[in-house]
Amino acid sequence: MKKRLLAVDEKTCIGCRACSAVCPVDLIRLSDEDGVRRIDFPGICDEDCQECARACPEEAIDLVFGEVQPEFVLSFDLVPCQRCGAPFVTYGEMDRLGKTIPQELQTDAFGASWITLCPRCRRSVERERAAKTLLVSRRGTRV
Amino acid sequence: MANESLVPTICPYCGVGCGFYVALEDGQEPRIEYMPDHPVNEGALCPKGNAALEVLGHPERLRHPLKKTEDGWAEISWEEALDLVSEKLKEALEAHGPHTIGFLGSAKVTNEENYIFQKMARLLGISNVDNCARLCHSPTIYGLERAFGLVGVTNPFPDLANSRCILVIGSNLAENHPIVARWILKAKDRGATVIVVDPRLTPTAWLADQHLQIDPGTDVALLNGMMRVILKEGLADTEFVTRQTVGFEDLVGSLEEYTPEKVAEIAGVSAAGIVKAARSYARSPASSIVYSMGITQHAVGTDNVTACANLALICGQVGRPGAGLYPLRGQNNVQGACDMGMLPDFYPGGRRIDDPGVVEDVEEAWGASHLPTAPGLTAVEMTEAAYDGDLRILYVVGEDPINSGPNTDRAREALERLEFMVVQDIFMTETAQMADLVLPAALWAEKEGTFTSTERRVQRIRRAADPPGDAREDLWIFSQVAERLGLGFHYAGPDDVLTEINRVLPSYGGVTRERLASPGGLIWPCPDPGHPGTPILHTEGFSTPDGRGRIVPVEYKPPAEVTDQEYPLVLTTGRVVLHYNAGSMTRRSPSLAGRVPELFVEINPHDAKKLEIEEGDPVAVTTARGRILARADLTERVGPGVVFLPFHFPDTNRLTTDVLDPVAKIPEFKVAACRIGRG
Amino acid sequence: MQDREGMILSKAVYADMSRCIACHACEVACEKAHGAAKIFVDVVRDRVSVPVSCCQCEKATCVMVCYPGALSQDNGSITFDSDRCTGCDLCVLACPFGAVQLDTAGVRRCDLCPDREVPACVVTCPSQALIWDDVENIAREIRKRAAVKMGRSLASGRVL
Repeated sequence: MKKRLLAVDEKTCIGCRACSAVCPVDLIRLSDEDGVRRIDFPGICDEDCQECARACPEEAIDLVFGEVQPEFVLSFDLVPCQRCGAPFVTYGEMDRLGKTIPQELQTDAFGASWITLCPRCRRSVERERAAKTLLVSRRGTRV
Repeated sequence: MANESLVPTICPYCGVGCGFYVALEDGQEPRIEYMPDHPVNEGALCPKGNAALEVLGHPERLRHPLKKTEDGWAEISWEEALDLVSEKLKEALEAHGPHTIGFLGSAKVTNEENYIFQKMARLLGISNVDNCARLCHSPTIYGLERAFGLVGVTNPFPDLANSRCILVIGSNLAENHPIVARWILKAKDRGATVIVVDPRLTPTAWLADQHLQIDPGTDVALLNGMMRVILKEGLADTEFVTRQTVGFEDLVGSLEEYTPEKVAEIAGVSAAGIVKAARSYARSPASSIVYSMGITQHAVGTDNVTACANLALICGQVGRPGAGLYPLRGQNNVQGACDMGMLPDFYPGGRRIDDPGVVEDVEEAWGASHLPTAPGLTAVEMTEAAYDGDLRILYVVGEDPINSGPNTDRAREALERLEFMVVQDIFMTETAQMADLVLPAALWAEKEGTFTSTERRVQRIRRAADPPGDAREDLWIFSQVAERLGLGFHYAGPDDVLTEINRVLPSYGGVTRERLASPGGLIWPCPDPGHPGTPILHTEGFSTPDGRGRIVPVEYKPPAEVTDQEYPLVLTTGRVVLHYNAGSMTRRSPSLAGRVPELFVEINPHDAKKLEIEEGDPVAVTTARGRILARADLTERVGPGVVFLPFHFPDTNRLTTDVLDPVAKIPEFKVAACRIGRG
Repeated sequence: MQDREGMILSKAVYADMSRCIACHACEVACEKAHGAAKIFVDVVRDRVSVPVSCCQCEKATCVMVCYPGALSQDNGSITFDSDRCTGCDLCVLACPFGAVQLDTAGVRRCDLCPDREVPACVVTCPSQALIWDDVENIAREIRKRAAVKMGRSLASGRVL
């Protein structure tokens, strides 16, 4: 008997959070562990719904009819933050960001790349930079 | 917005007295709306103010009177609860006398409620009445009473902006009274110099042009050192000293040995820094001193306050715009509780209990006779008396002495020895858990009345919500107990009580309900209904009998507990911006507790390295009184040799010493010797 | 990274770090107004507190990567339409300042409190470290404050 199946194109999927975030019945599950992102897909989906396919930025998901298939997993290595080392982004996501954001905006005013830093470190770097002058003057007040 | 009503109120946290509105909208949770036309906070609120409504409908609020039984807490009726309180009081009065009973009032409840509570005590002959001012600013009460003849901040906060030099000593106001930082920054905008004296590099110290990072407990040495510089360099205001003060000659002689070099050695700061600070303060046309518990919470707290007053007096930096002394008080109504006579040695209006004329006045006002004529026990002394079996009954309102007092383990033992303890509060505090009877009270937004902020500013609070369950206003509870004791209280409500306060307290004579309608209220002394209030004190001389300020020399004494081989580090305690005092409200406030969820201890990275402690490690902090666990926070906020614990979590005061200031009876919370090890 | 001078917004929030006292009032006020804080205060080296929130970039990279069009920029102001949001997380990864967060309620970034006359974080700020004004006025205010500071250092030089 034919069932409604999830077909995911492994080559185009970038491993973002869209499909798992929009699935109204939580059939698609995403987890980040030990530097790897794991997305668990159901083999079949009987819901009258196209949310995941519509949400996918790469149009990597199709809902097709076919023979029953088992659940499957896609895994993505996470890129470590260049400052703190915490893995935070898939190579696919990074690639997409690199293509979407104009080159001149990918580095800061000092020519350093921010795109390879995790959001937390971006905040820290911004803070450190902003605090620099004040840090110097405040160190001088202690007597 | 549609169907929205805005109920003006005053923040229930610190003593700054910020105004805001409780916005009520049909079917919505009450929320805060800012009050830009309030003269002190101009709409701004600190994080605690923003979170003030989080305790309102809190699931842990006390909802019914609870009696302790063998099977745990039993809900009982108000009738039964009130009968029990009055019977216990009657029994003890008849069998053992009023000196075996203690009443702890609250700097959190209204003026009207404190007034009634102390009146009830005194009509019963009980003079053991006190409030938490004992633990924060009692040295201010005795120090400023002696120096200026009147206890209170001398100038309003907005007037800080007129200062050209602000000396902040022992106050981390940026965290504990953030709105005061606003006015200090406005002064800086106009070119003022800011000097911060603190053993810690606090956010307040960030605002300083000069940060004197003294060793804990060396304030008198520093202040004496500054005064010596001022005298030697001829910077004293001799005209003011001659005209307005007494005691100057004694001071001159007492300062000789406090040379900058010697003070530098005692306090751990540079001699040049002392000289510079002294010159800045004395030379500026209008200087102010802002201090808080870093001055008061010492065995020499009264000396510290006196030294601050001396400095202001010899430089004539008081009694003018921009020139004042600001003891920043911690509780929303601690000034009011003290004004109302919730102190063992003062009747309402700051009038001494051992002055026969005062007793006569109060007896006439109350239509009473045989009122107490001698001071009773202070808060910490009550705990001591309970330990010795001399105090049998304790009535605690809105305080948590187990968490807020020193040496917790001994305090717990003392309260266990009481025959009967009744606690009236909004949450089941650690102290309430030890009570025989717990009475559920309404909180500030659920009742009407007045608070007096640290500026002496009397402001109205208004009812914006109903108390949960059977919880009742403190005033109703007191009136019910008083009625059962045959005291004949017939107050229809807080307005009736305020009318009596207008009549009994000279400085509150003109502080009537009608006049408190607009934002900002009135600043006492305000003796009659036509009086505009007195924002700046001592403009025409001091409130002492001869109108002159008292200069009283004080000598530096080292802290009661010094470090040794066993306890090599100095432990100091204090507050953080996201929590409040014993924490019974802020630890239940998700937006505050979520940001600082647990006890931590600040350790200088230099010390931590020697102790092989890393950031976030659980460590044990041990003093002669006990051992507790805390998470290590490695930070340069404390210098080497000093560690800091916030006191908002139950364990901190298990470590603090109960050595008291001999005059003010405040414990030395700010200095103890400790050691740190792996947890 | 785009600097803030290029903004074409008529009004903006400016943070004067020399006044920030790390009290977190802005965070709590923001949390009360929006359910979750969109401004983040942290202390650098125990001495300087820096609030970070969306700085409404002129060339907003978060908007560029938002393929479903949930984030859009019109006349400088960035708006968010939760119905279009897929929760992909790309905007979070595309913010140069780490000022965008994502949770079940959708994208969390400062929207300058469109329903209020002045953003909640600015009204509540005890130390007036946050300023809400026309961009030109802010620039003037910064220059004024800097001038006072310069004057002050000269004044304190005279004291000795």
